[in-house]
Amino acid sequence: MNNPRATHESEPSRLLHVAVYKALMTGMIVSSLLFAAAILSAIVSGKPMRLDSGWPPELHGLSGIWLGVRTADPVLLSVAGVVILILTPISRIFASIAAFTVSRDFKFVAITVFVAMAVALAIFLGVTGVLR
Amino acid sequence: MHLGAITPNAEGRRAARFAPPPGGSVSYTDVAISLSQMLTLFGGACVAGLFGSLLGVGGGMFIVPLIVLGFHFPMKTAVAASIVSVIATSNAGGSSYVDQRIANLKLAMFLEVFTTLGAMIGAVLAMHLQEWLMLLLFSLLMAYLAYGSFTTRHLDDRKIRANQFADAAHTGVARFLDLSGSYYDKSAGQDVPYVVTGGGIGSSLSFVAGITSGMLGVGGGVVKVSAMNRFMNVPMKVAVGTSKLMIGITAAVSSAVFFASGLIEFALVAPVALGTTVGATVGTLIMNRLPSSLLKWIFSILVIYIGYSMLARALFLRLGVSLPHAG
Repeated sequence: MNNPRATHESEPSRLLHVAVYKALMTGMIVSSLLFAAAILSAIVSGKPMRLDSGWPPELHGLSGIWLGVRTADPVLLSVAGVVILILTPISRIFASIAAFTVSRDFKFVAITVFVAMAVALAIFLGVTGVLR
Repeated sequence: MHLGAITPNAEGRRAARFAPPPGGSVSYTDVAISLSQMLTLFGGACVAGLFGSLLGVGGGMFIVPLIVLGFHFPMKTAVAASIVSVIATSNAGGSSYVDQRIANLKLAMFLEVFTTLGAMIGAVLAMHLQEWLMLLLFSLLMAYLAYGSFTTRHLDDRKIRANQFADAAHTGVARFLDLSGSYYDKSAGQDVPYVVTGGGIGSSLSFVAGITSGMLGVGGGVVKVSAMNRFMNVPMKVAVGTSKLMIGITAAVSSAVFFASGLIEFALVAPVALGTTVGATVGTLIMNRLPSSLLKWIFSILVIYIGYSMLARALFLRLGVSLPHAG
């Protein structure tokens, strides 16, 4: 934390900022490490990252990602990085809901829950093909 | 969200992936990305991330041309990689602006209601409206926003010095939701309290920003920054930081859809996402030290560029006229 204002802000505001900051930083660091590991693995192992490599269907799901991490497969490490990236802004919404709830700011609990539901709906409609 | 651009079936997706580059016949099967290509992508993405975090935008307008023109990938593959990198730049930029207390979290959450709904509507509209017409309309909007940003480029610095961002009356939804705030401006060397106004027009323009993202996949950040700065009495730097935080949500939704559609090229994403993260992190260290007038100068040029690209695409689609433009 490197902000000059943080010392004299209200507790609810501090709580909200810390929750969102930690959610974003965690996602950023983990995904960056995975992407860096993917590139490093490709260079060190001499297994170049193939284009049109996609995500092998037999490795779909968390077990595939875990296998990629364990075996240092460049493409699967990159897949894991993308998954973490996509989840990070969503985790920020849930961190906000938790912070607003603890601060008993129920107007923003309602607003944030609405945003979470809208995001879930948009992903559902997009993935199922309704919005394509 | 750019959902309208996604090919709907597996055969189409495969065709899009294996589509030859413009004027070429190279198949991408069994082609690996080299170290020098990775470094090029990483370097280009660093620049995109830097400008994105200085201006509160995703930076897709830099990354897509780099991938399409530099590596001859199909547009959809480039857009997919770009959208994923927008999340990376939003995470890096957003976290830093939250830490510096520049991003207004409540304002972001309030406006995200409208951008998310707008993005869904935009994705639906993309299926029913003619793309050239939408591009033409949005290019006019961009011209208007660029004019507004340029003509008010010195206004922020003047208002900061005179403490005028705090002079507005607390009214309406902004008062009800307590959206006002303050930040420390390193360039001016002072605290800048501000009163958020114009909740109605700000939410309407955020809805438009969502539609822009959903239909065209570009321009949402520009509309959000302009809406906050010009119509909601939000200082430019707060608008940049808040927009930077917000764009991650719509990009995450789009990326999830691209992911499910099999359009994400993971070998491309790794260096691009890493590069935008590094660039955005550097940008957040610089942004608050720059005068707002300089940020608005650069912002105006960016908006003109986006508007021109939209106009060029519209004219090409409608009249077959090719104006020079990258991407």
